[in-house]
Amino acid sequence: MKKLFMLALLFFVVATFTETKVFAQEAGKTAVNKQEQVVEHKAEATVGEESEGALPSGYMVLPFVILLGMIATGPLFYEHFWEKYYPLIAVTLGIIVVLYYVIVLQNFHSLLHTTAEYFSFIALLSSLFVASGGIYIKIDKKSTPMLNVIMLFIGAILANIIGTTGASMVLIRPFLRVNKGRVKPYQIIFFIFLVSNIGGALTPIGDPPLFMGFLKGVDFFWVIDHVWIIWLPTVLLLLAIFYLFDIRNKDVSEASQEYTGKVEIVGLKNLWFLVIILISVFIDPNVLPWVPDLMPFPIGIREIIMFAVVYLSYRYADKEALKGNEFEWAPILEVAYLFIGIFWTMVPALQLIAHEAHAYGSQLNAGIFYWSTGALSGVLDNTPTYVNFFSAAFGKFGLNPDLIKDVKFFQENHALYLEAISVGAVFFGSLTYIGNGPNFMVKSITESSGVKMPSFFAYIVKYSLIILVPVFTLVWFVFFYGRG
Amino acid sequence: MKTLEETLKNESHGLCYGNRIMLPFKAVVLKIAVAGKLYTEFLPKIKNGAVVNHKDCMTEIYLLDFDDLYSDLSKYDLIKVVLVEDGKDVFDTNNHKRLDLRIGEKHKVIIEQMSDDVLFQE
Repeated sequence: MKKLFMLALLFFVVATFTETKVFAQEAGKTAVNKQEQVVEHKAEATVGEESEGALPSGYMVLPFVILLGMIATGPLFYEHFWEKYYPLIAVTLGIIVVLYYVIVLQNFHSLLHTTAEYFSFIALLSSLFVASGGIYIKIDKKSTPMLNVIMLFIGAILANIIGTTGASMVLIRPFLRVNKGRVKPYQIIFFIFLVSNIGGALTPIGDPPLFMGFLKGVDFFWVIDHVWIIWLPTVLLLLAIFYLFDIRNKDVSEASQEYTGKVEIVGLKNLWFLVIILISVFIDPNVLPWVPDLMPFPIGIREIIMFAVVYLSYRYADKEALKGNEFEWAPILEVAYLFIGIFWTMVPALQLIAHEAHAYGSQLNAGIFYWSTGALSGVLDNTPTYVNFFSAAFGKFGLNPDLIKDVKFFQENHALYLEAISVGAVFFGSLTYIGNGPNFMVKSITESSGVKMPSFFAYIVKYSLIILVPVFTLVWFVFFYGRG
Repeated sequence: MKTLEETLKNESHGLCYGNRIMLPFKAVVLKIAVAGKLYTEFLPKIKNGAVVNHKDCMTEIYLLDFDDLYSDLSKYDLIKVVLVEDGKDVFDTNNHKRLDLRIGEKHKVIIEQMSDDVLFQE
C-alpha cells in the first residue's frame, strides 16, 4: 500500500515537473520580486487553465462524491472492508482524476497547486499530531463541574495554538483521568464540541479548513479579528449548558480518595517543537518575500521544517509520554491516505462549483453560505467543504480563489461571506463523529479507556440536534440573518 | 494450570498468534478495550467483535476485528482486560482484576496488573 502511495506521488511529481519547469523559468524572467513572482505564477496558471479549455466533465465529480460517501458510511456499515481497503480506494479514486487532468484536459497546474496544498496540510497536521503526542499531562485533582468548565475553556483556546487535533490529543486523557469515577458520555461529547471543533475557529492553525484558507492567501490574523465576536458567546453558551449538565453528575468513586492537586507535564521538550511549528507556519513566500519558493516541487521550506519536526519530535520524545498517550501512527496515516484522495478528487468539483456560483451568485447570501457549509461539514469532512464553498463565494463575485490579490480583495470587501464559511465549516464539524478528524480520535481514546460512547445516530439525536442545532440557529440569527 | 496470582507473581507470559490470545489461567472475561474498540459481549459464532473460549488450562480470546495483533497494534498499545479468575465470585467486585496485555516479540503476551497510571474505567 505504501508503494502504491509513493508511486502515485512520484508519477504526479514527474508529470508536473516537466510541464511547470518551462513555465516557472518564464515567470522568473518577468517578475520584479519574489512576491510578484508568486502572484504572477498563479495568474499565469489561471490563464493557462482557461486557455486549456478548463472546465472538466460533470462526471468527474463522481470520484469525489464516492470517496466522501464512503468516508461517511465506511466506518459505520462496512467497517472491516473499509479499514482494510480505504488507502487503496482513496488513492485509486485520486489517480482517476489525476489521469483525467493529465491525459484528457492536459491541465497540470491545478494538480500541482492542489498537491502543494496537500503537502502543506499534511505537514501541519502530522507535525502537530506527533509533537503533541509526546506531551503527557497528569492532573491529580478532584473533578468538579467548574474544573471541567475551566479545562474545556483552556482546551478551546489551546485548540487555536496547537490545532484541534493537538489539543484533543493532549487534553482528552487528563480530562478522562480527572473525571475518573464520574465519566459520562455527555462530558466527552462537549469535549468534542468545544476542544475538537468550535474552539479552533480563531486561527488557521486551529482547524484544517482555516489553514486551507490561509494557504490560499487569507491573512493569518484575519480569522481572529472577524470571528472572535461569534466564537466567544458560542463557547460561553456551550460551557454554560455543559455546567448545567455536569452539576447533576455525582462522583461514584471512593470518597476517601485523596488528591495532591498537582499538575505534572511529561515531555515538556516537545513544546519547543510546537513553537517551531508555529513559527514555520509563517515561512511562506506569500508572507515573507525572502523565503525561497521551491516550485515546481510541491513542498516548500515550511513543509520541510514541519516534516523534520515529525521525525525529530518522535525520535527524541519522552518515552513515558508516548506510553502514557498510547501513541500510535494509525490516525495520522489514515488522514494522509484519505486526504490525498480528497485533494485530488476535489479538483473538478472546485472548478465546477466556482463556475456555477458565478452563474447563480445573486441568489446566494451569507446565511445560505453559513448553513450550506455547515450542513455539509457535519456529514462530510469540513476541509473539502470549506474549500468548495470558498471557491463558490469567489465565483459569486467573479473572483479567482487562486489569485492572492483576489483573496485579499475578498477578505476586505466580502468579509461576511468568509466569516459565514469559516464559522460554518469549523462549528458544524462537531455535528457528527465524521465532521472533523479529531472527533473519531476522541471517541476511540475514550472507548480504549473503557467508556462506551453513543453510536453515530445517538450522538446526532441525543446531542447535536438538541444542543448544537439551537445554538447554531442562534448564531445565524444574530450574526448572519438578513445580512449579505 | 496456573492461577492468575501465580502468573503475575512469576511474570509468566501468554501467547499470541494472529488475532488469538492465550492466557495461562482460566477466567471469566468481563470487558476488553483495545485500539479504540470496546468489547463487553463475548458471544460464540460471531463475525466481528471478540470471542472467549475456555480450555482445560487456559483462556483463549479471539479479537476478530484484527488480523494480526502483533502488526496491527503499536508498541504503545495496550489490551486492557477486566476479568475474574475461574471459581471466584463474579458478582463480588473485589474479585475483578484489571490487566494490561502487551503483544511482544516471538508471540509472547506480557501480562501485568494494570497500574493506576493507565487510563481505564471499569
